[in-house]
Formats: sequence, C-alpha cells, structure tokens
Amino acid sequence: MPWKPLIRENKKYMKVAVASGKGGTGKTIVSTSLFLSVNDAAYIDMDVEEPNGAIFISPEIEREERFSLPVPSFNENICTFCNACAEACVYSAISVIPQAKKVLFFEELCHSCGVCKYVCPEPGAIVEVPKEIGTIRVGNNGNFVEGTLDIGIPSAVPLISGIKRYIPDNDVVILDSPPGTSCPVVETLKDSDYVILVTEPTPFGINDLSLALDIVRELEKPHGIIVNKHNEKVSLAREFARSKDVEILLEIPFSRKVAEGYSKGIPLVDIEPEYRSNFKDLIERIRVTIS
Amino acid sequence: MKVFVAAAGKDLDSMVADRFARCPVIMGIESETGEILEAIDNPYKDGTGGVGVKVANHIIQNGYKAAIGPQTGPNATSALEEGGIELFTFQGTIRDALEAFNKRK
Repeated sequence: MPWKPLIRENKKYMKVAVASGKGGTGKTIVSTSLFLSVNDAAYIDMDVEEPNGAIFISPEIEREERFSLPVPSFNENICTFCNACAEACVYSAISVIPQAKKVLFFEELCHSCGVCKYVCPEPGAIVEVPKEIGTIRVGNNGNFVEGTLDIGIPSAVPLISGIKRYIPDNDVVILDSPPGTSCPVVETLKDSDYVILVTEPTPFGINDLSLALDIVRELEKPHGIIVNKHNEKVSLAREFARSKDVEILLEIPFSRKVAEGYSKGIPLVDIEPEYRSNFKDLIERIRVTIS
Repeated sequence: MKVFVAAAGKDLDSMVADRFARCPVIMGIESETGEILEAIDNPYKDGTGGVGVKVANHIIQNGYKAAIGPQTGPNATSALEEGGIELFTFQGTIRDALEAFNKRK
C-alpha cells in the first residue's frame, strides 16, 4: 500500500541542499551535522547511487518501499504494427518489425513518458507495467528518508524525484545531494531554498566547486560555501570565494581526530560537540538570508 | 535487392562509413543495378541516444533486405536481426562493397 505523503499547509519550513561538485569533500559530514544539531530537522539522502547518511544517523527504519516507473508492455496479438509508437518515441526505445510481427522494446532507453500508449490506436496493444528501479526507506518518525537505486538502472533522476514525495514537513529539511554537476544534482537542487556548497581547499575541490557554483547560479538559488579540511596555510577556497563573491559560511579545519572518528561512522558533532552551535547558527543565518 | 548502406558520401565512389548508425549519409541501393534509391544526410547522426534503433527502424520500415556498413551496435543488431535484415560488413568504397555483396555466398 502506498505511503500517504504528509501535506504541507502554510507551514514555514526550509529545504537546504548540500552539494559539492567533487565527491568526498564532506557533503554527508555537513548534512548529518546539520541534522543532528538543529531542532526539528529532517535528513533526506538524495545520493541514491551511494547513500551513506544512515551510517552516521543510525535511523530506525519504519517503512521500506520499492519504487517503480511505468514502462510499456506490448501485446503482439492486438498490435497492428502501424509503427505509430516507434515514430512518437523520441528516445528510440521501440522498434516495430512488421515482417516478424514483433515489437522490440529497449527498456534502458525508455524514459517512462507514456507517449507510446497515448498515440497507440489499438486499445490494449500497449499497457503500462511497473518496472522497479529502487527502494525508498523512511525512519525516525519520518525524519529520515533515503533512496537506493538498483544496480544497473541507468538514471537516478526518477528515484530522486520520487523521494521528494516522502519529504516531511519539518522546520528544516536537509537534502544530501549526489556529487557531480549532472541531472541527479539538478533534480536535487531545483526544489531547494538554499544550497550549501561543500568544498575542500585543493585544486580538484575548487575546480568542481566552480562548476557546481555555475549550476547553483543558473538555478538562481541562494548559496554559500563550507570549506572542509580547511588549512590556514593554503587558502585556495578563500581566494576562490573572494573572486566569485560568495560567502564562506564555515571552515572546518582538517583534523585527524575527526577523520578517524568519521571513518568509524561517528558524526562530526559527536566527535567535536562544539560544532553543534556552529551549525545551529548557520541554519539561522540561512533562514535570514532566504526570508 | 534493396540494400541499405551506411555511407560516408552520396555516390558509389564514396566510402562505406566507419560508424553504422552515426554514418554521415543514409543510402539505399538496388544491388543488381547499382541504382541509388536514396542518399540523404543522416538526420540521426548527432543524436544523444537511441541512434542505433532509429536507423534500424528506418531500414526495417523502408523495406530494406540487407545492410552494408561497419559493425552494428547492440541495439541496432538485435532490431535488424529480428527484422531479418542481412548484415554485410565491409570497409572500402561503396562500389567495391556492392561488388563483394553481389558475389557473396
């Protein structure tokens, strides 16, 4: 039975996405820290190809649902092989072969748009059947949501979009974004109210931060930078932030203690509890920025 | 026999293209006479995905019986095989390809 999403009526709440460009800069360390520091927060793991927030949050999973998309199924006994569906399919997922009285369906090319069924003149020749692509898990009274894409599924976007229906109406919703700057990231960021870009002060980190910044600006989202593994001696991130006129919200100095704890699944704010107030302040500053 | 050629140009002295579905020119030839039935700029050449299926659909829907070109991709291959299209792999000019095709066993 499908889970009924919570309805958000007139409630003021904010969705803060945490993205980075480069992987491994600390999106999850920041996301989980925000979740664990702020009152009435929810954590949503949108990195469906590699969800790992659960390692630090250890949620109690209350419901687990398979997520599926509709894909066409062709009845070759009803089909007249008129080719209307294949002509309409912009993704070339269908090949109609009148000679063999067959319809070939290339599932990996299908985007579940439904146009084939829409244009088909023969009732019953095309029916839509569900194709499972991943799992959505909800826990901690709905304050934790994560998606896991099945192995071999070419696009994460539909699942990321599907997760949004499970987002609760907490005061602060943290969206832990996938790395990179492609469609899954855009899908995560487009419904957010604010984007935190996490970077590391290395040439790789800054290069990808620059790409991520372009996306965030294109999407016209308010944004700021958190520098993880900060090093006072090398201020690549500061130089970058100055040149691009972006605010640095927080600098988390490199610490072996934090790295060792993190590698054992201990959240930053449990290793260094004084960070909790930093993250609380941060959320209040963001609230002011977007209001 | 109506034969499809993944072509690099629009006449018989052009080369067989080095890519099947992304060939520059889609060509149709009557194999016995060498008459060119069609030679059009491949509209699918720069497509982002599903190009193999698009060209295979063109071949199947236009009643071609065989296809001359380089190796076909996996999607095009399954569609063309299902459609009973004979695949003839050749490198060289289209004229030579046609001669080899006509002499095939």
